[in-house]
Amino acid sequence: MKHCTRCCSRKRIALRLGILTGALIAVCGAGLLIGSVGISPADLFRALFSADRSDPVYRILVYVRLPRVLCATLAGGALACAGALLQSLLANQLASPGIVGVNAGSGLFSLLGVMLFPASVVGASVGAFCGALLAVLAVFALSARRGAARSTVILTGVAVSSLFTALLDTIVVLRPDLQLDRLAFSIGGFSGADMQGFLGALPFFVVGIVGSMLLSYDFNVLALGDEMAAGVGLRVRRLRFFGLLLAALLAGSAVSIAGLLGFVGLIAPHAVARLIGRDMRVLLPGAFLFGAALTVLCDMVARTAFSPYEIPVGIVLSYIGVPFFLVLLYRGKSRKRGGASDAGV
Amino acid sequence: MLEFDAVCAGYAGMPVVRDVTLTCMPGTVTGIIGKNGCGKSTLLRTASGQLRPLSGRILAEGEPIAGLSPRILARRIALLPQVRNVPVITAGALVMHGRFPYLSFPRIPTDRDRQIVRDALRTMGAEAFSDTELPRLSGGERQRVYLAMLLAQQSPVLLLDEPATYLDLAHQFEVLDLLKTLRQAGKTVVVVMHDLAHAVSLCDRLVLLHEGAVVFTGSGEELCESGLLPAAMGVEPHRARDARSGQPVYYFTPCARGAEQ
Repeated sequence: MKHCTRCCSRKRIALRLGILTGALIAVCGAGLLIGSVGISPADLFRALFSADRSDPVYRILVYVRLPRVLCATLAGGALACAGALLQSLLANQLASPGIVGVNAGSGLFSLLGVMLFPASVVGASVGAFCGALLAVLAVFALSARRGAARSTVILTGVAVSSLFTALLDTIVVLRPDLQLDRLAFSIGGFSGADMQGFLGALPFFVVGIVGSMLLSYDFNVLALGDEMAAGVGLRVRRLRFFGLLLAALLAGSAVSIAGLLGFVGLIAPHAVARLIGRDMRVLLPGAFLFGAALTVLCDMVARTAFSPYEIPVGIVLSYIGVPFFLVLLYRGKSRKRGGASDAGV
Repeated sequence: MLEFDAVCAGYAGMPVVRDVTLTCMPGTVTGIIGKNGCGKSTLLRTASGQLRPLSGRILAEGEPIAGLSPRILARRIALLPQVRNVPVITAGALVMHGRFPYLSFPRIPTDRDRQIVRDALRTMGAEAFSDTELPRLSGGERQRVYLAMLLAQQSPVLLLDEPATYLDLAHQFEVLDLLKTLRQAGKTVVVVMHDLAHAVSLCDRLVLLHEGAVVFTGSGEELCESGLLPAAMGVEPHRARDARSGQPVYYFTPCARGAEQ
């Protein structure tokens, strides 16, 4: 009886990935159709395939809804993948982009972008991206002196985050007029989403995803623990560096278009791991699909629930995501004897 | 074959083990014993290439390991550390990680790799649970799987740090039998052990470390008769005879206070 419990078989994993893909396509379709102006599927096809660029339906779709759905897909998927990467690299189930300084770094530099280039429309997003990268590089450079052990990376991340947050608070104290920019960034959302932002973040996202998938088997080997992974020939330190860099690229591309949506990066990898297991070769695509679908869904709710008012998507993410996550967590626990799947360390 | 050539090793420039010269032969089990903190694990980590020696050199199959890349080194020496993660993967997937030194990008195992993994699981008697996740296995079963992973690595030298720790007595005997299997397979097995009785019964040769230096090298019987154990480990050996086999066996009792001085 003990040995008959097979882990997720390939067929079951493929089926669940298929369901997640279907869910993403469905919510993206709904995201295009549902809004303050309802669009029927027939209108959607007519507008997309007609040559009339002045058609209001066409204009709503191409200039408002499509960029928004694409940005939510990219940001949600990228944050979920970055979270999965960090949880694996640091062997810490509480790891999310914020833990290696991404939130604080991007917050500080987006504010600097607004302050130094007030006329620039991309100042904040470029700043956010650069800040995410810089924070992660600083964390790694500092922790590498101590051998880049997992706990050192996490503690250095906490220290660097605190420093960046202090700098950010100092700027806001000196320049109270920037408080609103800071708030908008911290809450995050897609009300300002456009194709320019999406296309700007896309290359970083693609590099992050492709690089992560190429290294996904190596991340699996790292789960053995540093000493044992090194024993089978893995260059642990180098892999951790590239992994952190890829996570920063992914998280940076997301925060540059959406601000902080930290919650997705934390729960999406856990939720997906409970559905399809912790093999990074399937967890990464699964986390992308789940994170993207959840974010698109929440964004749709955020802009339609109290239309014409829009509530910040981060709040909706918590309202929808937390109950769903808790159901998964406790159903998984009751099914698996004694929560055996938590034995990560 | 694994050779230590005047090896000094330690941390932050401070030597923990000093001037160790030793040759471990294929098809034998060498046991490293000594009190806590005498440098056993440091010596093993140095032999695995994960800790650079302060001076001296380590040779695997006659070649210094210092210049070898991690993957080539992993093909020569396999290490089972005492403290390990228990990843949530199947036993079969774990054993496949033993093939990592042979997998180039995009890390897709060949039929040969899969066959080697199946053979390793069979040799260690673990094929029945190859599809079971590691956290669901008992300590003894898990140890079998880790040893199968080491076997799949196909390294001639195997280093094991306390492979029987945390196991009940029956599982400890099981692990000793598995180590004998590895010896029969012609491996050079070097094992750090706490349990002296097990070490004496299993190992072809014992290396006694005391305060970072090798103070004895020889068979278990020679060690017990050497009179070194009270000073080096604080125990007194006693000889008895196995009623079934008639072979001499040793058991150990603590020294009276002050006797080890």
